[in-house]
Amino acid sequence: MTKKQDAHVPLDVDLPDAELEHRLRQTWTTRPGFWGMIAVVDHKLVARRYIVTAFLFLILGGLLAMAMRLQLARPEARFISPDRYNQIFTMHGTTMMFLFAVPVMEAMAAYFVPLMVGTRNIAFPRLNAFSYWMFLFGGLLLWVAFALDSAPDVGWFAYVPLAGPQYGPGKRADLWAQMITFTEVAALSVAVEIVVTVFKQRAPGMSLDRIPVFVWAMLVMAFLVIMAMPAIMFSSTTLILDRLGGHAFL
Amino acid sequence: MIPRASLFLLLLLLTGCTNPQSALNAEGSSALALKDLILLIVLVCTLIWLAVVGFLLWSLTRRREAARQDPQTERRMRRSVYTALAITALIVAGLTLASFNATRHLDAGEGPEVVIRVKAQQWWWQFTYPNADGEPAFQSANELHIPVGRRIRLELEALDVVHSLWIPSLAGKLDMIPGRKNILTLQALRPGTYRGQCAEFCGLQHSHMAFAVVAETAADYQRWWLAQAAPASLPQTEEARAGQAVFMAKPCAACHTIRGTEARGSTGPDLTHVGSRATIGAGLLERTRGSLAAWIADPQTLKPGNNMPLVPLSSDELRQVSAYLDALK
Amino acid sequence: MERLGSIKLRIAAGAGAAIALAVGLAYMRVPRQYRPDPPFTAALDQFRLMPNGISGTPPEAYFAAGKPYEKTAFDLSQGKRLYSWFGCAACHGAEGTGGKGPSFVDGWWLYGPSMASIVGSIRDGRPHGMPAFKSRMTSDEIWQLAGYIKALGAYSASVNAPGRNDDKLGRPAENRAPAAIVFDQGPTPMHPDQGPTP
Repeated sequence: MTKKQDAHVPLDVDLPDAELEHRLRQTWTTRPGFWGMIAVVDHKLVARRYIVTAFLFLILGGLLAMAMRLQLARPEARFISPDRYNQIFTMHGTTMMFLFAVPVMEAMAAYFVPLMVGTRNIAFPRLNAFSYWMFLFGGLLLWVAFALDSAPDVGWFAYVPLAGPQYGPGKRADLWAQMITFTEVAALSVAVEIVVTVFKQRAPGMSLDRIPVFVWAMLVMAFLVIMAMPAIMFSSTTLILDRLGGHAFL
Repeated sequence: MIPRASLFLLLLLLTGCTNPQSALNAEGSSALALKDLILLIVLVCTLIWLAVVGFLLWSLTRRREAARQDPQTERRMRRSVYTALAITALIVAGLTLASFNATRHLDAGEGPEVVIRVKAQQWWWQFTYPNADGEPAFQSANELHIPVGRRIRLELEALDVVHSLWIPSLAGKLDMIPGRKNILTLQALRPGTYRGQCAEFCGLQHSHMAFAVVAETAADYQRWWLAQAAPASLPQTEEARAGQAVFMAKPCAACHTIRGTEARGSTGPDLTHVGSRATIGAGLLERTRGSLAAWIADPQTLKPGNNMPLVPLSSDELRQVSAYLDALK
Repeated sequence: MERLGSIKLRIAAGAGAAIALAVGLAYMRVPRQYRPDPPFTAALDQFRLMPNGISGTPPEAYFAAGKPYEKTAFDLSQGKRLYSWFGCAACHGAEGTGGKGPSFVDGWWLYGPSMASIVGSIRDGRPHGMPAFKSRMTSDEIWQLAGYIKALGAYSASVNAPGRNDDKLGRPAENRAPAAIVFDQGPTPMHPDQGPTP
């Protein structure tokens, strides 16, 4: 694997194997320590974090679902107050859609696609790392707000006027719209990386008709995300402008 | 033993079909058409599911080695895959057409319409019945009366956020969007009381935004209409008279209307004939004198976040007001 | 061993981020009270006005509760609804810019800008046409409405004030301190009792 590429890189042609391996290692290893942990750009590490984080959110969302089921176990139960219930069902939907379903799919792609098309790292590795942090902080923002009783209570679809400035008082829907924007940026970034990886970084000789079916599927998914996410991003941004900037997009 | 238990469970599931709020308990012409569509799709999908599971079981027991040896079998298999593909396309297209057709021909009967204006707000329903000139004759809250067999035209408006009117036993649901008027026509085929519910999440008390639909014969409807159009009856007892005085002196009259008195508020439901309704608080409680008193005493505990404030009243005042309201038949 | 250390670091970093977010959000937190406690609303009626009817001080209970009617987004937005439900717009204008009654956004407070005097004006009425709302609104509602009026006339923007209406507005939304923008001193300088200049 390491020797195969020598022919294309003039500088490395004359290097002995040991030296070449040393240089490769230097280029591709993750630096140790706290800073190295923050600055990691290796797609396998980032994707693994993505998957673990997404599954943590899945568990949290599942706990909320159980709380809802307990409340609904018999009519007019007083287990959860209506206000808290609305927060819980909004949080559940938002968590499952934006903090689990989309990220976990993309993280699987970010993990396997570079390996399957035979490249060392995903395209735009720093963007990949950035998208993880966006996703993480978006999710944290939402869940900390929930812990503080300020979680969005307008439904995970946040229809205006209910989510608008007049009928959704407080910071709740603001936090939702901000968090959605964060995770959308993350999702969009990963989708772009996958498309570029598949089109530009396939191993020599791997033409498009020879890529694995999984890679095809992920490519299609990435294109769908690229089509869909900007529309949602536009909506959540206009919602925030409506609420905080005094604009009128409703 | 086991079959009997499963039979019992199946019967338990069937209780869903007699519910006053169930699309399977169709008593309206549109609801019947929708129910047929639901049953058709369920039937077709059940058959498909059985076929798929059967095929799966068959393929598990199939001897692959033998089949692979035989080009004849291979060709036959290929042909059956193409056939299955064609059948799938046909079924999907057929169901789409059936769905399209059912929605196109949602039938609301013939003849002159009964027009009722519906205004949804957080979290109750206001029904305005116009008289012959189209002017509003009276208002009702959370209780819709309609004559059986007639074509009913509901003019839907929302005053604050998006709501949705859904009476599953009579018709499909229709969204109510602030700033625009939607029209839902329906027809009840049999007298009875059905339940409607807001079907679009509209905030804190969305779940307690229900209403009753009373479908009755033309004569009953006429009688009800005339009774509702009349101004409120005068309080007969000493207690009720005192209750009326309290109602007028306290903040109640600022939000509620009782026709025939000086109470003309328009923020809350019209209470002119509140004693004739079956429920209060948008389907929250059965209307009795006790529940009226409980509601007035502490609306925010019964339905947190609703727009009725907690008006401090003494126990005597509370008793008097509830007697007065309960007598407003 | 090294791997264990890095996991600890990760957990520490995550916890640190969560705490930082929590502190930030706790600062903005707005607890809601749908059901006012009857003893609390009874205590609210005990506010005192100065003998001349201008300015005064709210009861202790109001401060003890953390001035909810000026700070809770929910109460302020309920106040906004009450503003239209109880016909304030008829005299003070749909946008609070005045009409038959005085404006709320011009920087002038005839009876001072304190919460107590606004509540007093709504509850007991004022000369020259302001009716008393004592018999039409509960104490809780009067305080909600007063909080909204105060937010409308505030000179600095509050994060909890309501945003713009769904219909067209001629002035900036309440959360952008319209009074600071629409302020108009008028021909005569203001008396200190009638509020600060922005």
